[in-house]
Amino acid sequence: MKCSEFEEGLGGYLAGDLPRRKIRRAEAHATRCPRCRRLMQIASGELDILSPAMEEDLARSILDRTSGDLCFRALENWCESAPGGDTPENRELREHLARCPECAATAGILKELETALPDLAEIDPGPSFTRNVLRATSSARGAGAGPERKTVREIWFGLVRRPRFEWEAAYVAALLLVFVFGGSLDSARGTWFRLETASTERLHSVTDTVAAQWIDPLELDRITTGVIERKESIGRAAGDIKEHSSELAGRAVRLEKSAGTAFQKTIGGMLRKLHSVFRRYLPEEKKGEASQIRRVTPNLFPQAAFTPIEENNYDSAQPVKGEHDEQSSRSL
Amino acid sequence: MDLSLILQRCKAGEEAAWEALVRRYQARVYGIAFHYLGNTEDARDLAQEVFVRIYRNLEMCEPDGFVPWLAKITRNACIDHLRRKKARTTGFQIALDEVAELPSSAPGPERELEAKAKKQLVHRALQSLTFLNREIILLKEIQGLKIGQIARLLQVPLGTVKSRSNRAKIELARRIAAMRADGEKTSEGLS
Repeated sequence: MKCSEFEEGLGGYLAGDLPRRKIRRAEAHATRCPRCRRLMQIASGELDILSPAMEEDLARSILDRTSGDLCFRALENWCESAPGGDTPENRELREHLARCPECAATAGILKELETALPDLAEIDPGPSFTRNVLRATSSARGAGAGPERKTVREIWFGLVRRPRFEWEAAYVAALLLVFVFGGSLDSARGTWFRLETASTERLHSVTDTVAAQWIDPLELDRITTGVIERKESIGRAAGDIKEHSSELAGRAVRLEKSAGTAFQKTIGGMLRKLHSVFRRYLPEEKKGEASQIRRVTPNLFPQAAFTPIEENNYDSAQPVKGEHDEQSSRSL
Repeated sequence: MDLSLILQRCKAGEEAAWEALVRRYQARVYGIAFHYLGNTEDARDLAQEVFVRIYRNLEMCEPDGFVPWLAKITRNACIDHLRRKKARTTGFQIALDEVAELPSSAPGPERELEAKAKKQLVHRALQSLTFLNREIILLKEIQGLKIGQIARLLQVPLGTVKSRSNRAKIELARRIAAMRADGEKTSEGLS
């Protein structure tokens, strides 16, 4: 029996599926061949080639690649129910902790944390804390236990300090710009005026209401002046934008006109060449159709300046073969 | 004294009842604030501010779920404070000398020193966790809130809190183990 035949039949031999004749041959081969004998011993479990540490490493790497981090799972189970009872899960967990010193140490710390963490729940703030709180609340009681009355300054700084304030301000500014400058210039002018009037009226009504309820008139004056100044500066910026936009619109119209003229001239030149070619190469009975190009072109392209080449100029218009080649080579 | 009775008397404007309420919960509020802010001064000011807020909203106080409500108010105030300082990312930064100030209930000077060192280590390990994991440990393990209460407070799904709570605890334990190993190495190197 060859070694390859032995290896093929090894599974059957160990399972007892081989016929008697083949079993005798395999055993005879194993007595003669030390390599196959060793293989048989390893496969049958007679010979242990892995040290316990290597075995543990192998098991760990297989489990890591299949069912996930073994240690983490074990510790999660430990957190769920520290292994007290004699269930199979707890036995496995205890076995794992006995094999794995890292997990054993972590489990020990988890056990310590069970008492250490709740111990951190209450921290003494010091002897003067209660007195300070009672003083602060008695002053709050003096001011009335209802909602606080805030000045406009406090409300404003409270609004500005919020993290979303910058986004909100940008959003409002963008809306304002689109609303005022989004339409045509005439309507924008009207819109701006309406907006200015409405916002001024609204501002006056709001400030009157606020003044009546909340604040110092001097402070209100200062804030109102600031708002009006801001509004004026926005108005000036709007004027600048209007000027620039009208200038840009003029430029766009001029550019469009010149582009149209250039396009029509190019088309005219192409049609002129096409007409001359037709006149030259079409048979006599078809030449009348070529003249349709001449008739139609001015209607379609008024700026094309259609001036067909005269028949007697055809020869001079057509470059002589040698001359054409010479021109081509020069241009190249 | 029963909490519902204290609250009832507080609402009736009895100063003695209010003082009793403050004394009962001040250490807890200060503890939460300290774990969020990591600074004794800020934590003290903020805890005081929280009690003023509670005082102003005494009508809303109910004995059922009072502690979660307290934790919520304190947490929100802490988050606002950290946002204002633009320091949320560096929250929980606890100076070691401040941790050493933490009182210990252990009897005897040696035991007390040991307990302080342990607290210091736990704080340092907590500091190295992610913000959500720290919050979950603070609210569940330290303050003893239930998972549903934490989920509502942090506005995260219940499953997230469940799955995170054990993971965060294991992470904390592993960090502590690593820190202990580092400490031993350092002390060996010094000797």
